[in-house]
Amino acid sequence: MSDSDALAESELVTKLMAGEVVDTILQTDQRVISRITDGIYRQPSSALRELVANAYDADATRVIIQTDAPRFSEIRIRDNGVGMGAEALIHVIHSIGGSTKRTQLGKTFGTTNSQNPNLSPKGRKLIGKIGIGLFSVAQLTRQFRIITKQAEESYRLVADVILYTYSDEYLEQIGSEDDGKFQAGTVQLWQVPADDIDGHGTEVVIRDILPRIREQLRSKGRWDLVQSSENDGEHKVHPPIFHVGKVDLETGETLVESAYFPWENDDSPEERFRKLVDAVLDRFEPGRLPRNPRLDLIFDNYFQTIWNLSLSIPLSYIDKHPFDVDKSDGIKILQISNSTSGQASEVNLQNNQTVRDTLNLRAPEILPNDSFSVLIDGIELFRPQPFLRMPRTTQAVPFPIMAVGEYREEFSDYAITLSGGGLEFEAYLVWTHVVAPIENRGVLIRIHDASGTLFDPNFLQYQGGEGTRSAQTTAEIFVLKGLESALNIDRESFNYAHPHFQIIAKWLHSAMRQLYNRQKMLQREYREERRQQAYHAELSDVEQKGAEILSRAYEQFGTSSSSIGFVIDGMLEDGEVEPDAIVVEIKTNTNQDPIQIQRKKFLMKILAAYSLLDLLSADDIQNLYNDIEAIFD
Amino acid sequence: MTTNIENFNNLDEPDEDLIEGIFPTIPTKVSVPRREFKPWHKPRKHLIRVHQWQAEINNLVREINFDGRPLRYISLPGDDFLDVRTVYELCESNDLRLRFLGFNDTALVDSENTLADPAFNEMVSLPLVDEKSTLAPDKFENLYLAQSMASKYLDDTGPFDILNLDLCKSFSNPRQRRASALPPPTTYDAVLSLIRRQTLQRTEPWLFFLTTRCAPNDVDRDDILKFWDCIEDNMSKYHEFEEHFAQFVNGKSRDELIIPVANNNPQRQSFTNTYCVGLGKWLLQTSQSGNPKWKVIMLRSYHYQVHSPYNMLSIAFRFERITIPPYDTTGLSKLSEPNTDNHFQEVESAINLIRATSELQDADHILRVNQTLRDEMILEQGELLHKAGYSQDQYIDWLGNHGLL
Repeated sequence: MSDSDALAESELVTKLMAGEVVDTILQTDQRVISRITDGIYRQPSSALRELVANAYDADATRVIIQTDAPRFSEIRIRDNGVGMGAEALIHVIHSIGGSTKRTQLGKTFGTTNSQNPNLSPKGRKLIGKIGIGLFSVAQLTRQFRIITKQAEESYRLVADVILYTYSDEYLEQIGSEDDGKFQAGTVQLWQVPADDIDGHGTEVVIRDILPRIREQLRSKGRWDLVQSSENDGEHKVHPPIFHVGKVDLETGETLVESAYFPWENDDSPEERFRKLVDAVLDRFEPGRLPRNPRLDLIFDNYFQTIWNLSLSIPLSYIDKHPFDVDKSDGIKILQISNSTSGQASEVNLQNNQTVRDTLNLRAPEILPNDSFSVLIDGIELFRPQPFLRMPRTTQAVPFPIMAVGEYREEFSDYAITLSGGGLEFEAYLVWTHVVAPIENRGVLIRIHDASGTLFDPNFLQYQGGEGTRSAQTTAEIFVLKGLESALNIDRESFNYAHPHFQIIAKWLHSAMRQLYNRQKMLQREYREERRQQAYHAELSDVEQKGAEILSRAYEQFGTSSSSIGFVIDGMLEDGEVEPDAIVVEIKTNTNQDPIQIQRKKFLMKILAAYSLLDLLSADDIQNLYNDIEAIFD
Repeated sequence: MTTNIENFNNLDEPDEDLIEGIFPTIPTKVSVPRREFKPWHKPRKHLIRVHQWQAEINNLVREINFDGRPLRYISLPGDDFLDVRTVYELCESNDLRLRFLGFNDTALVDSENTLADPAFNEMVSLPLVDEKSTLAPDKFENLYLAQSMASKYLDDTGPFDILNLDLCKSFSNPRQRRASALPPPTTYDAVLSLIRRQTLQRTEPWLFFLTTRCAPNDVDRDDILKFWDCIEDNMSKYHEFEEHFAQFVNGKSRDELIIPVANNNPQRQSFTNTYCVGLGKWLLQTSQSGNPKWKVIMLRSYHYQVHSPYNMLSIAFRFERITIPPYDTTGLSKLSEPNTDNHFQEVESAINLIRATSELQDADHILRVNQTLRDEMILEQGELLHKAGYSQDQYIDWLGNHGLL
């Protein structure tokens, strides 16, 4: 608390105690933000995600990550973004949480667009916000190095950062009463001459990775369990099917378990990722109780980290963007109504038209001639959402159903302090027989095409029941405007009380209801259609078999034997019966299966063909039929 | 039954296991090193970079159909990446992409890499550098094990067109021997392991540049004896080789050739020559032992003075796969025998080693007698150092202080 704040506070106390009504403002303490340097994230993939997001915001088109897997002794993340000048770098270090992004300072330092500080220099909507992404590496290490260069500069800047572990106790010891500032660590900066004048970008080098994190990346817990289950011989824990191998913990120099990849060594980076996704889809085991693939059983932590990272960052989809689906994909398309009581309407795609064209959708709003891609350890990352290739069935609706919608509202009738500003989003929900892997069940919210929350299988607390259908649903919401302030600072969870979040949740729940209503209708239609098909198939089968048998009987006994005709509910069947034909009367009721009647008729015809009815009177024949009917029914 | 309250006081003390791996190591502030000129910044080293490395790689590049793939290069780039910069220049002029794998274990030792990190960043930012280029934080020697992290890096980036083993020490460093301990891996192990991979994975020729100290006290006694065995074995097999070798060493005996001699002893040259032929013969013999077989050709190579003459060798070898089309010795087929050039004779390669060793050039002498070339090398080396962040002016001063101008 500064002196001026203290004075103000004492004044407030005096006034309050004097019975006055006092107005003041809510203030935050910088120590809160300092805690960020101690690590607020849970998974190692968070740190990678944040660094990639920084690269995106810096207009990088390419990010290369080298992890030294499976040893993880050093991790390098480098991009070809705009890099930082001395002022920007020093500001980042001196003002954790006070990013130059989205402020006028960003324009000054060249870290944001010269016209709009909410955009990157070349106009991308920024992912990062308050400048803590860089400190996500606190999750991994207490010490890291930043190397950065701007184009046209003849030097690189190097910063060695050492982070302290946050301790309230320590603060008390040193008596930090303070101006609210907490020293989160130390930084040493220097300059290195550079020959590549055109070169630009930033690299973060992480060494001395925290032992716990290294163990996590190495899947040590899983391997230990595998080992101990082998020893005790009881509950067997299986090793991951695909893994990056195990390094000898003593030396760190040799592998004690070779990696098992789903690809060949000479496969291209793109092919590697494709095979990684195929490896998941291939694990689907159809049957009465289909086994849906689960990432945590198929992959070690390393591959799960890669998968989660790929879901989080702005990337191309492994197959195609859901909005780029066209008629040839064989998917039923619905358009969501924005009325909470509305119903989804069916969208008929014209040839060569995509969902995007038909419904004028914009996500993910890629700038002209812009691109962004990430290579990690020689694997090209794509968004692993293979909704077109997830397992289908012939039992229920045999094709996926994709419901698509959009929402745009400025809330101009409400003050911005209430509404949080305008909200725009586009979304799709895919119902499919099996969502593979299980981890893709749920809804994933992207803000500016990035996400830290992964798929939420509870669909933002959906209360509409439909457990089976929601487990068959994978959805993404692409927020183009708003919601950012509802994102908590770790970007891994939302403030549920924020109006934007609530609107999205309501919209989603309505969309789910609309999708499931339509799915149920389609399911009913499909079942009826199938039932009809099955009935006609069986009837035609009976008729064909009966005709064959009759024809054999006629061949054997000739056609001279008495013919037989049927009067069904008073109507002469087939309109015409030979004059001396035996006529059998059949009375039907709703319970009688027409196929059974057909069978009985054939039975009578066959008996007649064998001349077995010749000696019987008309009444006896009618009685015989009645008896047969009694036995069959 | 009563509970013995004392048991509660007898709980085990918390042991170290509970806190193992919890506290990070105390981060230490690194010292930013000053850029100091080193012996490998002398113009003679640049002569080798240009006249040996660049020249031979250029020859190789002309032969190989890269078909869009990068030139693959493996080395020990140190802090400055001077060798990688040199190869990059060549790639630029041939419009070739470059994929390099550098071994640098400093990061594992002291977590610093203070100069290497920004230099690596610069190299991988260059437009023609392939994205798979990387720096393995491992000892090159660790390649000896197929299951090592070093080998993993090699498998991920290879096979290679060029191996440049630019050692400050000796390829055949004297080793301490303890009866009980497993001997640590050597450069021989690593090189053989790499040759094995290359043999199986490549069909095109490749180059091996080796810079090594080679004074008698830099070479393990056992190693030189084994090299001698390789030579002697060839002498016993091939009279032609024996003659060439005897002529080359003026009929000196083994003991005369490989005896440890003082720095100023004129025998020094004989030792270096014997070491060079022996090393080449070891590579040749090794490459012949497997299948498919490869021949080893020694290319233009240099020696120079570190403390005393003939102490340093910069040798270039070319590995070429031997392919012999099938031919009929019975005469049943009318097809003529394949071109006799394709009939590989080990003795020819072995004799080539003697010839190439006899043609070893003295890098110091070349620059001493050729002022124009020296000036050219000084200028180019200065420019290369400038690229690596050194001052050209300070470089000239440094050369002056060392009497190298």
